[in-house]
Amino acid sequence: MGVGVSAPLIVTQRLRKVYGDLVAVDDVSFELPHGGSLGIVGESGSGKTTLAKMLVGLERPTSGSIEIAGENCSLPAKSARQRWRRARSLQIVFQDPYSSLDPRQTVGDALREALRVSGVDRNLLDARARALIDLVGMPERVLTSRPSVLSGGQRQRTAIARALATEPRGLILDESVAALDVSIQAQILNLLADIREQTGVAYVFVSHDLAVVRHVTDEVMVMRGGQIVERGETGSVLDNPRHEYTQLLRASVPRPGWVPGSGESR
Amino acid sequence: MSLLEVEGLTLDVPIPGGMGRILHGVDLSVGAGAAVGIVGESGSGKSLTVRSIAGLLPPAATQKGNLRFFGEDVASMSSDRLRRYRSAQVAMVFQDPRAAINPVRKVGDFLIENVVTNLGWSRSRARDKAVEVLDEVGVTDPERRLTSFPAQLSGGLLQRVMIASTLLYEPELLLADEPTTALDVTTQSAVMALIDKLRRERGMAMVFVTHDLELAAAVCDTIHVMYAGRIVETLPADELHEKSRHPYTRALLDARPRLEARETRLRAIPGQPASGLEDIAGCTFAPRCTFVLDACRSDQPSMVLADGHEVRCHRAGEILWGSA
Repeated sequence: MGVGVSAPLIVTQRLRKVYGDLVAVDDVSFELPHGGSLGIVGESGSGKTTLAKMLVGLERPTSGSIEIAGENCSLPAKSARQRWRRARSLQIVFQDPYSSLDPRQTVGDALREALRVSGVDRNLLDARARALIDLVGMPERVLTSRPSVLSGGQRQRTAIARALATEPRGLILDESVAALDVSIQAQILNLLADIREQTGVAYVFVSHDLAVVRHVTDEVMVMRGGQIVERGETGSVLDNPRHEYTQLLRASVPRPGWVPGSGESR
Repeated sequence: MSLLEVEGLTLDVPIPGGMGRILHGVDLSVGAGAAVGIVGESGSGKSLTVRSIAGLLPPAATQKGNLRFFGEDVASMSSDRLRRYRSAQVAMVFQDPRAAINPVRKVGDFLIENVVTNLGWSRSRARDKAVEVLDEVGVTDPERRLTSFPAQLSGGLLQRVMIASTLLYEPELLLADEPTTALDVTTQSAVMALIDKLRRERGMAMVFVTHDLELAAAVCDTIHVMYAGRIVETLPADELHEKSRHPYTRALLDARPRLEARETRLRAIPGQPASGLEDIAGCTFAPRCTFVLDACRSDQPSMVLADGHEVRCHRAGEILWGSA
């Protein structure tokens, strides 16, 4: 495709999504460099999940453009070949590891299927599946397990391994650690940091949890009502929030000495 | 006399091939007007503990131990007495308000029928009271909201309706099981502020179940940390950071990323949370504990006093923690 390494992995311009009268995403433009990590922070109805879905082609933008690894991805893929190519650019991991895996498929089958459609040679499927399960920190015996016998943390590791099967350049993590216990959440966050270091994969990290966003992202966009209200380097946005809404979000996080309702406007 | 005394609460539930013990002797007491937090991860037994208090267990579960409400043994209450206990004296708010309300009945019917059935009020008196409590929990235009269906309300608004429903009775004890976990952070803050205010104004006691240590510390007086069906540490909420002594409590505090600064690496707890059903000979946290000794693997520790509060750890008096 002739993409220079310095060109950003994702470029969106004036992205907009409208459902009937509701403007879910309103005029969102951003860039994500290769190997970067961008947080998208917001609450219910902020448009963060709609934005994530448009990036991976699960929602079609009403207007605006999406370019991923140099390819115009504003419209749905026209052919299987194009869909596969896009699958090698960007993958998504959802919030709920209980509903995002096929209950009838073993972990090994899920990984081998993802590897096969991304063009891996049949003879290499087993070895690559073992390498993936190792990358996400699970023992090989998990390959023969079905999701029902796995814990929430193991399922989320499986979903991450499956997303990595296509060797994507970017992962969209949509509240991917929100449903996990604190002790497991820390394991998965460390794992994501290791994977990024080892593979150079970029992250778009969609979350409502400011502490988690601080831990995994370099840049952050704060969304409300479909619009970006504040953006910048994650540390400086969280330390010195300028927009009133970012200030309210930050004031709402329980911490030592916190009083519920602090920063409340109503 | 305490409002609620729980002593040696055990719970057996059906598992493949028999019954399994999931709560292993929970002791706690709630003073009148006090706020008590129960904190833990999945499988710790925190929700089952409050459900046992509310008498909301499936019939196949076997509950043992003492449960006394103002000194009265809950197990020997007559069915009429038990109904009054469960409807008017103890109120429960759940994590998912949508699962706790009938989706095809209007909000007003939900609120009004409750008191008409349980307290024998007239519909017009119940309706006036419903408007009053909706107003009290900050629902704007309460008259109109009575005619809304649950699906027309946001999660935060619906949780306010559920809280309003508990206020119809002026209960002495509110049992809140992760009441804000499904809500946005700004809504959580507002709903917690509301619960806190109502509780203080009415002198209502609360047992607050959450996975969020910081949230519990902010709204409770006392915190019980549960792991695998046992309370492993009980301490005043304001001493959580400075004085907690159980390796699990400390590990939980350490595992959370911080809002104020980025750490290079999180101190994750290895393994996964155990449930009470797991057959572990010694301390149930031993397989994940950094400070484990041989004794921890063979003997279940009992509660000991360390730094002025109760800790279930063989090494409680010995491990020195820097203040967090």
